[in-house]
Amino acid sequence: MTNEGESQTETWVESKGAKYPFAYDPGGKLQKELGVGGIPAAFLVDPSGKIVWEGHPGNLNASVIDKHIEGALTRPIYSWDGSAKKVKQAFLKNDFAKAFDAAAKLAEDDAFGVEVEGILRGILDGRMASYAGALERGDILSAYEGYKGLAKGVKGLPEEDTIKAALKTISKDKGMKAAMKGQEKLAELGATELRRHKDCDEVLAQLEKLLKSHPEGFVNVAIQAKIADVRKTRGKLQR
Amino acid sequence: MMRNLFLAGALSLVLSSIANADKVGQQLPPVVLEGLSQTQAESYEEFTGRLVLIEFFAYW
Repeated sequence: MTNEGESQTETWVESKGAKYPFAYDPGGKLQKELGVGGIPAAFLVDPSGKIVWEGHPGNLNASVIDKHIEGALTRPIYSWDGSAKKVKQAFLKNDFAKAFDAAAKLAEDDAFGVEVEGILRGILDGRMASYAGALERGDILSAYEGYKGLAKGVKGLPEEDTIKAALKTISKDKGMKAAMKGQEKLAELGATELRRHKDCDEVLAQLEKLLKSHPEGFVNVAIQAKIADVRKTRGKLQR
Repeated sequence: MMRNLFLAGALSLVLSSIANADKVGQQLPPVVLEGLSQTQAESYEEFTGRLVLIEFFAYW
């Protein structure tokens, strides 16, 4: 029942006196990825991009914030100008190698550059750890896409070899390739619009089939979760 | 029902903390936002490096 447009949202935000930045999550994509069930829901993300807390916003404790605010940028990226702008431009293009170079130059005559170098290191370490974790969990697609997205931007950095090796392993391992294919199929089925029982039944049949080809592991669990999800949707739909 | 998010750089809510730690420890997936307002930032990436509270809210 989305008949409330942007103008209503802006009026609502204004009436609440909220000064926070706000935005729209198109198609509820992020919400789905984060598994948000009830509203309101909140996530605290640390300076390296890692989720460090989740829950009802009213339950967020000041000590959690104190613990994670240390090391956060004193000047947000969007406000960077002058020499820092070069770091920003490289970072926003995912080019860490260039961003590190620009930060090192900045650090020569501005202490802020040292802070920026530290933050970039934290972000890159965080991403690398997250892809390694995904690989370990069997979430091959996330690992593959993550590494692939970073590959061009780490030329000459120690991460370059790690990423090359990981991508090689994934492309040579039959099991991993099969898992990734299953994940891609699952994503495709997950994007199907479910309007009637018939749509659900068709997707369910394909999911059951897919489940048979992935009898265990991360992909199996993900397919089972999707099956439960589609069944739930089916229950809510009219014939 | 419109669902949106709030992004806050700092905040001061004090209550007991009961986290259901489902996504905790994981990296935030890439975020694509539309209509980012009340900030100079043009994309979510420009909040990187700060401590960010993302809140999903709705109104009826």
